Amino acid sequence: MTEVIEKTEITEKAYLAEKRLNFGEFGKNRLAVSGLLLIAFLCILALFAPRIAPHDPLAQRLDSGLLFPSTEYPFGTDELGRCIFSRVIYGTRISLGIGLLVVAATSVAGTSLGLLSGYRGGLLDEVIMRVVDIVMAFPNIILALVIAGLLGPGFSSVVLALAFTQWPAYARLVRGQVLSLRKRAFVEAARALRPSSFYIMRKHILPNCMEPVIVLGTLEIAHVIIFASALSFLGLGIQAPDPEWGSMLKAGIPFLRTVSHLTFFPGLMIIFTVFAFNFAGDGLRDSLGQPADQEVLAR
Amino acid sequence: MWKYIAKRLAMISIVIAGVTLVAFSAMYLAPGDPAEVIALARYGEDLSASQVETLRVAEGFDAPVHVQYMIWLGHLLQLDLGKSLVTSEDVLTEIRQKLPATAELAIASLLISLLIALPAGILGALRKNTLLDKSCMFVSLVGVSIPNFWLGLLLIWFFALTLHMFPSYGYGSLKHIVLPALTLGTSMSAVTARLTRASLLEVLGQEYIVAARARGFDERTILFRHALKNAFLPVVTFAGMQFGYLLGGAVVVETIFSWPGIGKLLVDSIFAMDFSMVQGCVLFIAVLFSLSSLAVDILYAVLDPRIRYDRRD
Amino acid sequence: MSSPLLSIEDLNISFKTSKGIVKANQGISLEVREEEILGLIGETGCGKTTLGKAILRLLSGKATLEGKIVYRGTDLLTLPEKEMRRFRGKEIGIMLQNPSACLNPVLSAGSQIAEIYRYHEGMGKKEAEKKAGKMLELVGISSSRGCEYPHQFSGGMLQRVMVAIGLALRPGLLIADEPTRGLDTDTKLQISELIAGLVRKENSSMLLITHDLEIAGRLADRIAVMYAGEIVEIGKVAEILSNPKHPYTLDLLHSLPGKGFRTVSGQPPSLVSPPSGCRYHPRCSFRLEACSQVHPALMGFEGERLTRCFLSEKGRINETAAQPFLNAQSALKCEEE
Repeated sequence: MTEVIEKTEITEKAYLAEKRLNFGEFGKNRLAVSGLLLIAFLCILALFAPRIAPHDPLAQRLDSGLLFPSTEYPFGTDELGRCIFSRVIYGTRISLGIGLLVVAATSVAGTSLGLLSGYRGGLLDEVIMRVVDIVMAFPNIILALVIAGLLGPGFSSVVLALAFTQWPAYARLVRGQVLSLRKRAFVEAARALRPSSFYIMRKHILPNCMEPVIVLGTLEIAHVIIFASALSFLGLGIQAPDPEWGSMLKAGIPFLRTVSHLTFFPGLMIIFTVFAFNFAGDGLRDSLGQPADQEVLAR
Repeated sequence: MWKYIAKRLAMISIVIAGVTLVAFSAMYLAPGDPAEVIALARYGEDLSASQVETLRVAEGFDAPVHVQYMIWLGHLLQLDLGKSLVTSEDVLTEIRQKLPATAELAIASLLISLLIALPAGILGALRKNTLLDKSCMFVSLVGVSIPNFWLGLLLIWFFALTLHMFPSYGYGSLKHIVLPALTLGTSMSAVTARLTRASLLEVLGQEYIVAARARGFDERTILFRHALKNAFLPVVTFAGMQFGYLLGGAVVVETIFSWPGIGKLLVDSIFAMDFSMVQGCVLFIAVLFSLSSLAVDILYAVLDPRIRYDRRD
Repeated sequence: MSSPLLSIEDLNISFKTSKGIVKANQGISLEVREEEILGLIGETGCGKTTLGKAILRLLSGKATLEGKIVYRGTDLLTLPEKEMRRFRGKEIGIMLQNPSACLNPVLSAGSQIAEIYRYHEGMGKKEAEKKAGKMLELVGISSSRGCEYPHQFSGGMLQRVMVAIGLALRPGLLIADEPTRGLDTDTKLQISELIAGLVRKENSSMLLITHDLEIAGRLADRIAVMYAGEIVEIGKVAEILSNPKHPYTLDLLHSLPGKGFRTVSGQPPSLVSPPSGCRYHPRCSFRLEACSQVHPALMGFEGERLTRCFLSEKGRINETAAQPFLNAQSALKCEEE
């Protein structure tokens, strides 16, 4: 009996080792490392925004509206005289906040449902997967738009809307992983020894699903940030005066011809952030040796 | 193959049934009483309680929710999506009127994206790890990270406001479609290029490519006859998913460029709290998306003999 | 003695990998004569597939090739790629391992044969298809199955399609890499008889690469035994089978089902850092002191026999009389010769 257990553990360890995140490889992937550094930089911006920003992002000074970049206002001011530089920096709080919150919620929910679905199978699997299909039948930006729009603008609506549209990706991914893992000998052996499925899921299956989920999660932060700013851009997400990049872009449109920095800098900030997460995610995926996932790419 | 298609059709009907439920219940997301919300949108702030009650009865909001859903579903089965709560226009007629504009935009964008992505992806795979390949892939990674609304504004700023080459908004002439289609098309091409490259690289590493070389074919014959057909299989599947992106992206792009399509209709209806129009648009888009995935699945089966000639037992 | 159709002279092939340089082939010298079937045998990973692919220059860019591969007077290694293409398929046909991977899944079997005629002989579509149908009949497949796709064929049938493709242009030489791997015993015999029969009928030659000594013994005229990237023994089939001079050949013979079924003990050596001295010495049961230090050369014997072993000099080896009277010095002498 113990012999069997040992053997199971050995094969599992070997399997894990073979799949283990290759940090050497990741380190070599310069773009991926720069992605991680950019993320660290953004986190610092968000955490220390009050110290870094030279002005109050909400403070209006009507006498100094639409100023061009200067030493006082590095990115200029908007039509109400608010410092764009400060607003852009405070914007990292909102965008990263939404991104992390949504990804944390959806990855946990999606992973749990995927585990259940893949491991239990049967009717439960059928039901969960049909729900996944139904949610995925809507282009996700459209579903998010409708939910956020009808709930009314605001931080929580955006988070709720995006959480509702983004969880199925994890459920599908994890279910696929579970199905392929289930066939592997060590899970079979563990089943024979210890039939509690919760134990097997926690101990044997979940750890093996984590890496693809982390990759997906990293790339998803990028998607979520784009979606959130798109919602705000359309006027259905975070609204002025809150310094959200998408809504700042929207506010800049009337001045596009004359003072284009109003739209330029917030847009650049979105690209910069999304780029960082995309790079890190791609690098992680390459280090894990995972093939480019169409579904992840599709959004 | 027919069995496969039948299976897909059955699956899609279940999904569409679920979709109707989601589309219907979306209305109840709005805080407060729907009748009141609509009355507010229709009559403005100074509405009376009796106006709300009249509207409630007229639009059927007095019935229990499940009855409302059944009634709505009954109408739906007769292809009746109801009337706009704001303008009283027939929803389906309205959508039908907006459909051509969205379809034009979608086709033009798809063409642009393929024109950019396929050559870039193929070249990247053939010249793997050269400077050309690496810059293509870098540009596409940047491309994936650029939100289409920002790209749209950039194009407006450059081509419309600075160069005055194309109009920045509106619909009608060929010139009008250039900027919106370019916005959507380029933002889609980034991902397609990456996928094409990855897929072709995988195919080129297959043993049957070596085997084809062993038969004395030149590289061009191998690429066009042996590699591309296999490499395009995932790209075709992906095109189905991209159709969803196209519809989603259209919402944003149509809004920026005041393009009179379904996307703009949807956004406008959300602002107007025009529930029946929102339901209609969402349902229409989801059904269109589902049917396009079905079409792609069938196309895939036609292209891939391994599915086409599945064992028929 | 017939003149060589293909002669390989002192061929070295190495690959750069992350683990170091893999020396897949070292100092290979072989010839395949007109109308001859040469069996190349050895265990998995000994470099025999690499050799087969190298002849047609099908190895990836990571491979470095040195030496000469001369086919009917032309050194294939010096040809420009465009010229090389004329030899592939037309002069030398090859059946690579694992037919299900070597056939394009999205093209029908018939069209994959027909395209060869269309490309090389400029035939029209109809004509090429007709000829492909004939070729299928020749290998024992009804021509009506030509429109079927690879996944619809069984393993044995796929191998027949590969035979048809390999022989489509009536090449002077067919390289068949493990044509019987993964087939059941009956199919194995059928396929091997089919290939050999067709090759003989066309007066072509064949390089039969296999790990299956039984098949090689049945079909080949001569046999070359490969171990760890080197040829260790070459000779006529009857001689090799009845009087193996290299201990590895002997061990291979013993591993045959009819002859004791004893597997060769130990692991195949690494091609990155092969054992010093004789490559086979760690697994050899006749090992001498010299074997671990001095690398034996390929030595000639009566007839066309070549063997890479110190013991073989003293005649037939056998298990009971492994007499370790050869010392390092006399081994060195052998090396100098």
